[in-house]
Amino acid sequence: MQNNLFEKRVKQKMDELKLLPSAGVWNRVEAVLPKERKRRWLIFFLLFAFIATGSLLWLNSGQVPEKNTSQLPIQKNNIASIEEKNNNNAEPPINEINKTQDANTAEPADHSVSTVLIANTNKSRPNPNVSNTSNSNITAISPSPVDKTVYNKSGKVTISAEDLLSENADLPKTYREKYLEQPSVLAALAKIKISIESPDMYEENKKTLVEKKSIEKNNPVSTMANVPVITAEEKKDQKEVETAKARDKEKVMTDSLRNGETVKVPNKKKKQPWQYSIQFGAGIPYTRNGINSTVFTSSVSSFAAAPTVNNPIYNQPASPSPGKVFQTGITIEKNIAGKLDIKTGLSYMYLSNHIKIGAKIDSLSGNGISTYDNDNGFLGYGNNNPNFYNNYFRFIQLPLVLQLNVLKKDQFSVFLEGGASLDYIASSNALLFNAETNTYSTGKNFFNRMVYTGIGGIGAKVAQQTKIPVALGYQFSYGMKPFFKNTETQKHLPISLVYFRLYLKR
Amino acid sequence: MDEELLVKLCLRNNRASQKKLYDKYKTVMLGVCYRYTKSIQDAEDVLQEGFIKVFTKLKQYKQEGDLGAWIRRIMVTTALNYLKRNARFRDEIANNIPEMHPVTNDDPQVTLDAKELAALIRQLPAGYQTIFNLHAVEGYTHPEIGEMLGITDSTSRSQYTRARVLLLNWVKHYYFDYKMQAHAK
Repeated sequence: MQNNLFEKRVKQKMDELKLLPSAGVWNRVEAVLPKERKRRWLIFFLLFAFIATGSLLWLNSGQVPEKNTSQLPIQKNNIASIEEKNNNNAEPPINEINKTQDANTAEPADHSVSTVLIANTNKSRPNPNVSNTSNSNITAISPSPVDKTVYNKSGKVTISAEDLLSENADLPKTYREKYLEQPSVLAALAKIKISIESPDMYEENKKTLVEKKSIEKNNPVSTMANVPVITAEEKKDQKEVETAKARDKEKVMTDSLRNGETVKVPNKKKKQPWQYSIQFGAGIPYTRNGINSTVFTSSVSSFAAAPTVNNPIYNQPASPSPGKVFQTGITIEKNIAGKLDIKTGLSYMYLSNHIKIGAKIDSLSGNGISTYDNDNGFLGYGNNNPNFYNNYFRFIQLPLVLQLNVLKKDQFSVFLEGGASLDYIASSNALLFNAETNTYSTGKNFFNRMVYTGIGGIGAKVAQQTKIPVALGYQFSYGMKPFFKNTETQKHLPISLVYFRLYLKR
Repeated sequence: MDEELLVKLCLRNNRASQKKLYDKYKTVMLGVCYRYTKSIQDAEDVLQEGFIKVFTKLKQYKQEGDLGAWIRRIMVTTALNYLKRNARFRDEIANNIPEMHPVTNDDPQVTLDAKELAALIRQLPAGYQTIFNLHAVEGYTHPEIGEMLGITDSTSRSQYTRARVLLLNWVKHYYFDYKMQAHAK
């Protein structure tokens, strides 16, 4: 007895023993420990950022030739320009020209606004002069280094566009071959006559028009008085004023080019339309460490990890069997840059699995357990009986996804997608197993209602030029926020899904 | 902070939480390590090694029992491994030290404070010290100790008896020789 007393006192004394270690101990411990684990969402975010950055870089690298057409670096003094206006007849060669402008935006040619810059070899040429014909309003910069052109009495000379091109033999070769030396272009240009003013006449006309404009500004009343009786000649003058304005603008541009600057030709960007589609999807919840396996076996309260000497009773729930996922929703998407699309929408998703449970229990008094968790709802079903129960979840999803069209053809394209989704659990009847009471129960507070999810996938759009374009794809999503509120280990929700998308409007 | 949350954060290798856990248990655990070693430097080495094990094996902690007890078990195991690496300890634990004369008066009065008593325990030969700590303080049985140290039950039992006799003698001598003299002054 006394022996035991001695040990008891020694133990008591030793339990009181506390010593303060030196600071170096923690420093050495800390040096060995691994660094803090980054959150999963950060990994997803970085992955997404990587994909997005890679996409943009790839897009940029893929668009160099197109960019050169609108931002062609032109050598100093090598300038000529042709501005084509007023051509609703859509001559084939003009289409060719306009394609050089519209390549960036992949839009249909708009002849009323396009501008083509043509490099010129001339180095000592004065400013270009502009004139027009009645049908195709083509302005041109006179190209000869030494102006040997013979002008007529009115100070003008008419040459064919073909001649004009031939005088521009030193244009960048690739540019000429790609855009100008096409048979259809040359054939069409041959039909167009370009009238070029002499430098003197250009200056004179400009002076006259500026004076005229000044008079109109100073005498608005007289100008207004003349409105009803505008003569054909005055109409012509007005037109010439406009032409002069355009010429001035042109001059500014050409001066910039002469100085070696790169001038961006303004492209009229056509607003990309949203594409509406209906999406149907089906798939499975991922079976490892997800909703099919362990997610329903987490306890509400304490869940014995293994039987122990003191607690040999180990209540174990039945294994859930695989369920299914259905998804439907409306999506909208649009092209935001080259091969990059953005997609969003609103979806409904149904997700389920199956479990075998016991009979319904209204009271646990028979089990000798008096605790009743009001927060977690009624204590519902016993364990180990073969009654079939279908656990389901209904989600409302708001996705935001970027699609990179890695392969884009007329009729189909292959895309990679990545993004995130905000998922809300609208309703659920899912049961959770409580090892303490050996029962299944359900409750509103078991789950995090709002879960944000990372999305990745691959798909293909087919029949794009038909009336019923569709898309097929595979999508994998992973819940970044834990699915359960109160569990010892964090459970996330992974889902594999195959979907079909039918486009309603392009 | 809730201990459960603290463990979760430590599992994510959150450095601040790990430091918090370390601060919470460092003094008690150094006391444990101190009893098994011969110097404070050795005790700190064991403490350092033990906490590294704690953080790397924290996944195995099931959050059912007391976290302190779990950490303490790791510290004891670490201390034993540390001692096993020591050749002198291996020698002492394998070979019985000459028989001690048992004291006639088995008065269990322990009036020393914790540190004084720990200092006396640490004066015991390494084998005695370890077995005394494992049995009297940690509560392991002799078969368990035999398994832990790779010796027979009877060896553990006899070494414990000798350690106990020795310690009782020291406690009385220490008390009368030093405490009483100090008190008289």
